[in-house]
Amino acid sequence: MRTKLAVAAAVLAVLPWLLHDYGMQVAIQALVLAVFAMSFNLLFRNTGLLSFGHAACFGAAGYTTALLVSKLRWSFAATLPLALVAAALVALVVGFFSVRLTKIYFTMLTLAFAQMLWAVTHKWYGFTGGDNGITGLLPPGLLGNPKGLYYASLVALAAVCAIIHVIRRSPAGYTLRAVRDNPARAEAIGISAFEYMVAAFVISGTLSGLAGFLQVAWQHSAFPDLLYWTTSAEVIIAVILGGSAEFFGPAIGAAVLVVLEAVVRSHTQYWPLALGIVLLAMVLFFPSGVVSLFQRRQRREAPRAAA
Amino acid sequence: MTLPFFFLEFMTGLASAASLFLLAVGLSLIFGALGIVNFAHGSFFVLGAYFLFALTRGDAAGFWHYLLLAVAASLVVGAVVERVFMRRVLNRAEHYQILLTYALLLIIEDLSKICFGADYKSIGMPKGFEMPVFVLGIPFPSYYLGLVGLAAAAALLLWLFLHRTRYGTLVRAVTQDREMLEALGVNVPLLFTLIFALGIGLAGFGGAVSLPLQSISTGVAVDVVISAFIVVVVGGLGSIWGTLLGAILIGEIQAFGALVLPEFSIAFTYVLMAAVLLFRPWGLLGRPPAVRT
Amino acid sequence: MPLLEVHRVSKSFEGFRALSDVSLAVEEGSLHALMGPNGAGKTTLFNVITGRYTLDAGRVVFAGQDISHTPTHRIIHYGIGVSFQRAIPFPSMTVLENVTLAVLALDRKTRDFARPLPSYGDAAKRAEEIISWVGLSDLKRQVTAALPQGDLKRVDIAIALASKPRLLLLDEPLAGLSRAERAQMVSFIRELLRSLGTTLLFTEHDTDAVLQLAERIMVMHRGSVLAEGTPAEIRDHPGVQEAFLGREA
Repeated sequence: MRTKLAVAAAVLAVLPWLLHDYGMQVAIQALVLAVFAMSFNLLFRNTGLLSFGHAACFGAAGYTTALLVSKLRWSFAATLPLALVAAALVALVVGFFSVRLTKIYFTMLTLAFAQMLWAVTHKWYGFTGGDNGITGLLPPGLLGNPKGLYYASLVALAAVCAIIHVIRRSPAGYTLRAVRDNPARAEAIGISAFEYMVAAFVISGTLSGLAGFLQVAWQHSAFPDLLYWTTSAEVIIAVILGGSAEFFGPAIGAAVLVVLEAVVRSHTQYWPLALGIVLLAMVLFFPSGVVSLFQRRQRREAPRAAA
Repeated sequence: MTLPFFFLEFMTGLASAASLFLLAVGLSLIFGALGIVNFAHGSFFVLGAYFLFALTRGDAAGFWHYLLLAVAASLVVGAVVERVFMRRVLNRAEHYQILLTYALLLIIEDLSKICFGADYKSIGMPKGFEMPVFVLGIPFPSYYLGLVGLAAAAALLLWLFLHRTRYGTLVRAVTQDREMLEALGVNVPLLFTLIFALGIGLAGFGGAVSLPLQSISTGVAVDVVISAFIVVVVGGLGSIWGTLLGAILIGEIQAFGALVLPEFSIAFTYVLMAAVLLFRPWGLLGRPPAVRT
Repeated sequence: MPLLEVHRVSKSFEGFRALSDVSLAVEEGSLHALMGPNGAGKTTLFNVITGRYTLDAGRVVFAGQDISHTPTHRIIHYGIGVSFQRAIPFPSMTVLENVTLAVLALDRKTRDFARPLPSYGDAAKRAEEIISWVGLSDLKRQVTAALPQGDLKRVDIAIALASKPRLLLLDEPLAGLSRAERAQMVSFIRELLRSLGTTLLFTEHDTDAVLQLAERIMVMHRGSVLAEGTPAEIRDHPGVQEAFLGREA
């Protein structure tokens, strides 16, 4: 594991020197979605809650940055703390109300909250620019240069992974899984499940905000799409495609998804069709995600090697 | 606001409620029986409209007899989709069901773009409803009333089917206790195919009869399915009358919301959805879970 | 004053009266059983005491404190340990992690999002001690999902003991066990609680096991108390004999 991680880190570190402009764009987009997917999976993997409202946190952070830069002329990087605060606040409100509900009702309530935010952003021309969005947000310095943005995103991804790793091993991380595995038993060891689930939602939402910030830095604009439910769907697809049970599964799923899209789009305009077919195949034939595909092959080969 | 104007606004709301009911009732039926939240449901609504448009070639003259054919095609599509895809995820975790139906949404969107083109499709008022009616001296599209009538008829037929026929009794029973029906030797998989086809058929019917009121393109499915979610969540997942109530509430809120605060009328419906989920998660007319443990 | 006092409790589900006017007193240090056929209201009473169900009428008092409307997670901190029916601990964790987490939960140290769980040496040490009481030291690194039913029960009891309970509540501790495992479990619980001095209230429908383990027995029937007394008194109680013993013997 450790050597694999070192190799992956080395490859990611030298990648900008191997890629052309378009390749860099794809790589940055993959990193940003990877940050989002890892953050989403912090909630999904540890609590079993399937949020369809993470676009709200992602978009809230993105719009906070876009608004501060375009209206108050803040420098791009300086907006990051407030962007994260915005994502955290949205997550706190959505999480506080939603985690009381179970299963599909939780999913539907998170969807409703995110759509509410989308509907307001989409129509509030005076403030958010409505569906015209906020454009022309070229970040100066480091974040405005592809290599700089790439490394910033890579550092963000590393930081998010480190945070998730620490939380997983902490008593609170165990508590979250206890609540997921057996809520009644968790209550009966003296745990109030509610506050832990809200905390997980807030952390997951805040880190998703980091991805939203990077997304706006990458696309130099903010559109209501950031908040639309298909954005939440995209991150879920990345997570399941990679494999939510594997630590790096969501990040790998995000990379596969973004690279696949770039490749397919260079040949045909029918990317949704291709994605639909990939998803069908995944649900029906490799439900544990692409990471498990490789592992299964390894496991199958292992005894042969021993014999 | 004058009284006739108020009344016409109310009737407009009722017409969209009729469309919403036909769209959402199948979603509710399918969730009640199969436990699946169908993210592709809006796509089948749009597909029904495309079928009708393709059959009539956009000419309203053939509306009524091709309508039956469009509904039949939707039923067949529903049955095939259930047989080929749905039954493989029936007992799987919820996120696989969501992903599978989302995949169908994407596939249907692009396939209809390939088959029918990406432009907006619309059709004139069908035969018998070409002339407006005059309500208190103001002209009003008579087809709005026709659509309300069609939805009411569909609701009534559905109710008769569910409560007065043997199959309908089985459909209601499978919602409550699947194991019991299996133990009694009922062919539950066949029943599921039937329910899914019926739900998709209703959505296709809804899309087809809504075409004279709202033009349709491939991209609208993602918006339409969210409307369907709002309606069934507000009314109660799995409840037919709840869906009717939800459709009327949402239809009227959109109609009058557009008068009060035109910018944020969509936001109202999400506020209602969130409020219902917070205070009555099982919906206004849904059944609360038996015992909370 | 008894350690646990249930005073005239009633509970209905959608018109069905699951408990009517049930009273119970458990003295400190005693082994107390709730007995009765399925549907008698044992588990409902158990869930009312543990705060899983709200009660319609009556009072539950533990160590002088009214806990009638206290949620489960708070009751644990008053000194009650709970093991539910069909014990499944946290399947994704090892035995040691299960018990360590319960120890930390009692000490309110689970809010820590940063320090690794294994670095809580004191908690782990305490957990290992409890695991040794239930005889699972050899399996402490095993993931619980893979353990057989009998071991799962022991893990669940260990988790309940991690709450340092004055009162241990076990719902059907013998359900799902083979005849041999039952006998083992009965003597295991008796020895363990004798040495710890913990009070026990448990539900069980296996009459033989109850008569072997309990010092006092309350027999329930259709949501009401049918009889209460020592095992000998219960054995000879005419109403009880009529209701079940006759059938089972």
